[in-house]
Amino acid sequence: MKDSRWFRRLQGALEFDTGFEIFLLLGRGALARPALTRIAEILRRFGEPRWHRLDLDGIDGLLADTQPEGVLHLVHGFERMPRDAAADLAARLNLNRDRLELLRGPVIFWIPEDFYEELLRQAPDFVDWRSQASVVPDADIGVSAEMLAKEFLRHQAQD
Amino acid sequence: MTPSDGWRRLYKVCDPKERLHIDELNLFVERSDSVARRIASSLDAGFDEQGKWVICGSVGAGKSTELTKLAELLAGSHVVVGVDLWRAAARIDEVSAAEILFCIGAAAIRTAASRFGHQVDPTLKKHLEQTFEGLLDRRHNIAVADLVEGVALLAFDLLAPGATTAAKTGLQAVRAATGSPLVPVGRPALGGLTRPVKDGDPALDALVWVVDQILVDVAQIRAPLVLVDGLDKLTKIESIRDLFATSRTLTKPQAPLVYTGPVTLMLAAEWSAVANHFDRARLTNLIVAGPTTTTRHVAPEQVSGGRAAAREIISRRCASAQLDVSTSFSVGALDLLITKSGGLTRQLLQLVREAAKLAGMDGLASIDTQTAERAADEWGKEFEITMTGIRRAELEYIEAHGEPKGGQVSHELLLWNYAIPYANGDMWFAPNPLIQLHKS
Repeated sequence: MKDSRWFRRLQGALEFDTGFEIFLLLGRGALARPALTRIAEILRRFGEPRWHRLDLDGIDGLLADTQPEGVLHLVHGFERMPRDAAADLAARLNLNRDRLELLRGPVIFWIPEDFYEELLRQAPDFVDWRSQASVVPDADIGVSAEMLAKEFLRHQAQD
Repeated sequence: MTPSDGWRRLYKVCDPKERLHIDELNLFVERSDSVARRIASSLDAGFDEQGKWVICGSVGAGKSTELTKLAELLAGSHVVVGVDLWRAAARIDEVSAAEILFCIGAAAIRTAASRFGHQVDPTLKKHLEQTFEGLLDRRHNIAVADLVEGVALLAFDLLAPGATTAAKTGLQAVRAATGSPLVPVGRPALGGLTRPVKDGDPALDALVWVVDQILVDVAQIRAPLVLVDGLDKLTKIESIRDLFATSRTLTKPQAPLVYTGPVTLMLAAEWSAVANHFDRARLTNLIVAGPTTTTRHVAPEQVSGGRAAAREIISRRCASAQLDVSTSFSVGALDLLITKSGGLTRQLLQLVREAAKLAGMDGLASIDTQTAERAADEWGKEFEITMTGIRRAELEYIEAHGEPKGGQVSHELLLWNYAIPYANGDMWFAPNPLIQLHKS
């Protein structure tokens, strides 16, 4: 992962500026959590990971009035939502994007690759604010078949 | 001070999250065919007092900045009522003409009170609520009075200073001290709230009448000028046609009105349809290269003029970051960034921002061609994400013929800036130069 182009770009951006920036990582939905976990481990020096689950909390956590400093926001959940609900949430994200500036650090969103076009349609201004949008190939995450299967089972159990 | 401090400042100054505020118009490079100045001149001269304009152009071409410029030009002679639909509507494609009128009424009440201390007749506010209630889709259970307040909070104060000013800093300090958030909470979510209505519906006519009465009340201060931003984000052709071509509702308020409209209106068929109701203004992109087809022609001085304007944009951003453009960029790097911008202002700034970041990370004293190429390459890759065979074929058609075929594919290519429109009397389109259309 560390040598991949998307990761070097992300890391470089964080080294350059740790203020509020939006990063969109596009990949397989099932890899959201393991991928972000690995990314957070490697990038820990830029901030403590702070998780946001869009499917559970919507965007409320992202829009809370008081936000901690020195954290790396990791956002996922589109992959766990029905397409209509995900599109609605994307539209809300677009509507409230200026409130995201209350977050005082970088925000990394995991976007299921097959949802990106819908995100462009529903949240064009939010996407325009990005500092980076990159596709993350499965192979870069280095997740084993076993881990993927366990992730799948965990999702099933929660549904 | 290290070189990276300067690059960091340039990185911030080119942030796409920041729209230019009225106190930052020193960064605004006026076009030779400035839409804002043309409309302002017309109104100042007493013409078009009931004029209805739609400014259309690419996303990121600077339409909102033109509105800010227009507000600046006419602030002394008009009550400038701004409506920020992109912040008021959850789904812009579902926003109806009635909702837009409602926003205009609410924003006018708010602007009169907040900027001039003028209270519009409370009866009119009540009438605004009642008439809008009569248009609501009964499936929605909405407290219209709350909606008026919510929408009014989003009245677009084009005359408000930006983040760099003492006023804004002071406001932030007060808000921090009082614990109140920087931006309004509980956003209203316009879009799809009204039942389908056609022109001539009594409830719609009543809403038009009430909005007019509010504008007449506001005119006791000065003549109102209404600027509506956000309709440039419409994504569905049906919505665009409905609002700008089929219905006349948006042209009805008795005040000069300026809307930003989507780039799709620049397509020939849509362009003609809109002419029935609106004065149309194209905010074209800077011509930084000749057309990709021999069927369209550009004079060399138009290209050099466009490139000079792009250079001026970078120069002003550099000056704002306390950098000198001539020493911060090699000639080749500046040329490459301008070419790769396609003349699209936001793309130019994104490229400069990326190049500044790369230069800062590499500890460079100036941005060289290689760094500029890397910046262009990074952003070019982002277009690959949503590239499909159909879109590539359409782009190849545009490259060969200088215009899209039309339809939803063309619309998306224009909306997402895969294709960029230009005009010099004639109109043509070209693929975004960041896209590598013909892979070796």
